[in-house]
Amino acid sequence: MGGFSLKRYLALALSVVMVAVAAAGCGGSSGGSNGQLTEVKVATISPLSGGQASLGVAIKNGAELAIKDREKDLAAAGYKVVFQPQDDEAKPEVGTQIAQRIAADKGFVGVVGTLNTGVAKGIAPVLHREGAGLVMISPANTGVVMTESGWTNYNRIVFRDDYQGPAGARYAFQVIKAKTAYVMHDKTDYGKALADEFAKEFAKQGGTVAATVGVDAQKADYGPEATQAMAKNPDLIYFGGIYDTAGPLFKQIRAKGFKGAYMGGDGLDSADLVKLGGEAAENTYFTSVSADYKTGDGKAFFDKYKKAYNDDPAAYALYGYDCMNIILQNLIDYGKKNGGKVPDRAEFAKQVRATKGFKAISSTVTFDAKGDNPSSKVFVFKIESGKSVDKGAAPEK
Amino acid sequence: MSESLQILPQVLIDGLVVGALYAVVALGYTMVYGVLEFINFAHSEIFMFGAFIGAEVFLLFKPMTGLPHFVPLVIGLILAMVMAGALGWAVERVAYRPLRGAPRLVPLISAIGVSFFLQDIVRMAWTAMRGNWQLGTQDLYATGITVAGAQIQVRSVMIMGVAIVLMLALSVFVNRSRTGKAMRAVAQDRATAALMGIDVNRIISITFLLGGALGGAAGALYTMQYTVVNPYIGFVMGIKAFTAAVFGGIGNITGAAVGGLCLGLFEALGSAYLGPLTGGVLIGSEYKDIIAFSLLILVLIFKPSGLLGETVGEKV
Repeated sequence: MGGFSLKRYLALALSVVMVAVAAAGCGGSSGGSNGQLTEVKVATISPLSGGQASLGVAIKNGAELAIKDREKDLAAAGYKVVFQPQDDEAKPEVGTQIAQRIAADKGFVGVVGTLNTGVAKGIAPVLHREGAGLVMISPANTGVVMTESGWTNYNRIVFRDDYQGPAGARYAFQVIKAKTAYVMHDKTDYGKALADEFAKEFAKQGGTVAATVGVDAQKADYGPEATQAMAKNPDLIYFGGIYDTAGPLFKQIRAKGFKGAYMGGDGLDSADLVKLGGEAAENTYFTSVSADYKTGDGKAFFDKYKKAYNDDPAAYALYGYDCMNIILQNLIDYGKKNGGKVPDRAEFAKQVRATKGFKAISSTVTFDAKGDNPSSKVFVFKIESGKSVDKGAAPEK
Repeated sequence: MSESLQILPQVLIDGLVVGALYAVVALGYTMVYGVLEFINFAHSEIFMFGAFIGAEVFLLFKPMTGLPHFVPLVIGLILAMVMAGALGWAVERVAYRPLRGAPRLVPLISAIGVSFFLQDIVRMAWTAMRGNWQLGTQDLYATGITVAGAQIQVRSVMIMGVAIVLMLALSVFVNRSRTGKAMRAVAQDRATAALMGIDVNRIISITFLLGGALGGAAGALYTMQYTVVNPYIGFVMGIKAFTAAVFGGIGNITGAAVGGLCLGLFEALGSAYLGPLTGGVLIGSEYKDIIAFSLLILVLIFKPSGLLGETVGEKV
């Protein structure tokens, strides 16, 4: 047993400081009251850093605008909403960690997210089980699995890939008049399922699918993959995946001499596709959600967003806004009936699922029994001169 | 079958380009091992840092569209080499030298720690400076030309050229200069070299400086080839380059070059032909690494010191 020494004192002091910091970090604040108003928390979960940040930040910004817009109505119903955006880095492990934390924090009443189906697949069940059914609405998940797994707390306002993939295939065969397609995907839940849906319908329409191939996402070198694609000499190359993989991939396939069209899903819907792909992104089609920014509420949103964030709203900004608005409207309705107290999570999720005819800016939202929004339509866009041009709705048959 | 042969020139050229990058990074690993019998796991992050410096230089010149691509490339290369070399030197002084007397495992763990540290520092710094840790640069020398029925971009040819120049320069330096001779002496027997009047510490510092500079050059070339950088590109490159160095005989400079090119070729060939070879079972390039690493294992079983390495007996 030694006596007092500086080294031991320092070591002890350091341990005490570390424990204190850890304890302070762990202690979350739950809803208290702010004067007369009940404080509740909402979160967005989307990638705020990394290759897909442009879409994730759009969702966060849209949601933030919705909270600002409804502040007065919320106060009238007795609530002060605190916004805590989360960064899932498009990684399922990170998303699940975030979900555990939010599930345990009783102050949260709702979540808007995610961008990626693969990340949402880990979050929704955690919120369902450990989170006592905390409600979650997605502005961007298109993976079919999300509403086929019995998660009563999960809803989405966008279409599913078993609708998006075939719509793209019909457009490719009937409008672009491609006869052979080479189908690629990024091996994620979203990308692979979407590519398979496309391939199935394309073959049904009468086209030939030369091959279906998975590539590693976010790699640098796609030389071998590009060579293999060129060897099959397809009219069209379909890619199920996100723009941060598509950009370099398309570039390297063009470098090998590909003159045909590229096609993909809503994961390609970002200005960064042109930034990353450059010239190669010309003649790329993609199916996605649409927004009318020229008239009425759409234009008002566009101007508001531009003023607040100094940038044009990316595809999912409007959908982030609408999702948050649905949660907030349901909160207001609940508050008016129950005197502004924190809602029971399972009850609130049931109420959100029962949303009917909500006039969101993007569409009129009614959730069906599974949590899907049947009114969401698929539009086709084409990259021309570095800008995405709306080519109209995809063929229905 | 004819389709397979038709793509062969393209596959070979792709393999050589990727292999050239592996080779230059492998040089850094092999040099440090040769002199210190130490695997510098942080070398991959020094490469990554060089790639970021290169990217910043390219982006600096991006608005000047009339400028010949030569200017950003050369300035980017030089700046990346200088700064990555300095980083390599600094890492040795801070993280390895204080552990010089410790058991072998300790500096190795330190190196792994430095590796993670650099990843996070770069990520934090660029998020603070640019708002995101992923950078995309413009294309330099990206015009395509056709060589022997294969499409190749001018920049790929330039990368192979620069890689060859760097390897030759290193070889000349190590074999013909006084400092190079001192390095070989320290590599052979550190204690005796010290007795011969060689400043061992200075030689070790120079080794890390040179290794870092090579890593930085490889980084700038990587940025030119792929135009997208993030803090995690070092990880995969490090594993591949280290494998290449071991494959060619770690400690042997020619071995690193040969190993790098071989690994690149095996990857490209495996990627293109593994599907047809296994009758469609292992389709797609996901499994291309199987071929590369299987060959590594085979070589190490039959020739543990690598293709060009010498079997060095245990020093008593």
